[in-house]
Amino acid sequence: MGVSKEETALAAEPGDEEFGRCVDAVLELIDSGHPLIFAAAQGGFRFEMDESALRQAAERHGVTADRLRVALQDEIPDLSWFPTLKGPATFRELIERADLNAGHLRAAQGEATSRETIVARLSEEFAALADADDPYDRLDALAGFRVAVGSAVTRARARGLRNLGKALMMVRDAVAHLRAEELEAGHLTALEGVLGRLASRDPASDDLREIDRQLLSAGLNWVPVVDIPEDDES
Amino acid sequence: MIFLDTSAQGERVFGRRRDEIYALISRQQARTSQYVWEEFRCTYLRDAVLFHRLLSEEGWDVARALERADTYPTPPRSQARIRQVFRRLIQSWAASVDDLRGALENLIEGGLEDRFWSGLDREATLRETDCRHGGPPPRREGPTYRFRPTCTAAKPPPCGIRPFWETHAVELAAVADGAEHLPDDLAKAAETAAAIRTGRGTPHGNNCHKHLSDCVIAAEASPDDHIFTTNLKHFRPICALIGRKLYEPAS
Repeated sequence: MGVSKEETALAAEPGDEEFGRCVDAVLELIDSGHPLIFAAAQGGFRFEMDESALRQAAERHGVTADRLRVALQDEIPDLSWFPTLKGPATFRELIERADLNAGHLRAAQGEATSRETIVARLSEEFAALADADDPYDRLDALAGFRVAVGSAVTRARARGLRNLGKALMMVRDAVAHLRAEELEAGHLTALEGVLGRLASRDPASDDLREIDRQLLSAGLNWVPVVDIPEDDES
Repeated sequence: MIFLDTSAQGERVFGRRRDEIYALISRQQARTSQYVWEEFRCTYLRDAVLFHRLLSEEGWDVARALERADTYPTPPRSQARIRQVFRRLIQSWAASVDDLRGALENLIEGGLEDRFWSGLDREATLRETDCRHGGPPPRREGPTYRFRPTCTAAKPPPCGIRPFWETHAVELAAVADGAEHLPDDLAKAAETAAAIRTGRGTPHGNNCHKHLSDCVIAAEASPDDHIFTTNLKHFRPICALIGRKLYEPAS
């Protein structure tokens, strides 16, 4: 699924002209087929692009390059989290893989996206994951779930649902490196439990800890590994 | 039983040997000690709190926070930990400032504690030192946290380190008399052990958690335990001196 100009027009709310111009600039980058390099690092991703292309697109649409970068990284959901795409790609591939549409863009602008709809959409993706028996289906379903949970983090934050964002962040990072063949019943049970908890009420701090424990005990650890300094002899 | 020291716990929480250690303790019963927990709190947890504060004060500008960490009056190991552990974690997480803040806060508010104890036999935790070094858990204060280790030589919290060394007088004597078997950077350990043994030095404060910390950990382990540490440079000679066993992977 791509993004049409018509959809974009729906997305741009009156009074948020600058964001609308950013969206236009993004569409231009999409149409140009401009290559991107994705660095799918542990627990996160970054994309790098030709700075001059970014600046030119920004200039043509009357926004600063920094403003456009913020829109790309933080404001347009699904672009801010895309751990499964590796290697060179284009904006169009990114948009299509992220299933981005006008609805997402509206959500980015703060239009009503409730806690219930955020978790409900995630639960749908989870159901597809839990139902997938065939290895290839499972691979696809896991990729879909990852994208959905990344998007859910962005939406929760855009809505100011801070605890929900933090809880979903744990889920997002915990599944970021899980491979389809490693997916076990215990993982699914833990994820289902977490989603059920999130759907039921706004988690307080204690619940965040409980969610972390639930994930950890199922072997879903969201803390990435690093090289401990050699001189660390605590 | 496997006994995990602080370096092993750090490795299990953050390091590349995490899977290896989890696999080991799923096969064999494992434990740690109250002393190791307090040392972990006063290193990894304290540095997470410090880094959170620096980031908060610097408007979540990572580069500036790291710069300040290097000039902050913290031990070089803390600076290294902030630079090399937390910075690398950030590079992994750093999709946004919200990610960074959320992740650090999740760790500070229980994530580190849960990972420290995960998979261990808590009933078997060694509590002989009754260490209270870290004091109360981090407390939220506005945008940051307050967490200050409490043990000083002048004003130590009530703990069991003095009776501990009375019970382990043989081990203390072995360290005090074993300077020639210890690496240069443990010379202070032998000196401190000698001072405590003769009553010239206090067993509290830096003498405990700086100069003799590895010796305390080795001495509190049972002779039947296999101590898992990544700090073999210190633990190998200490264990040889006081008669403790190290865990050595088969390979």
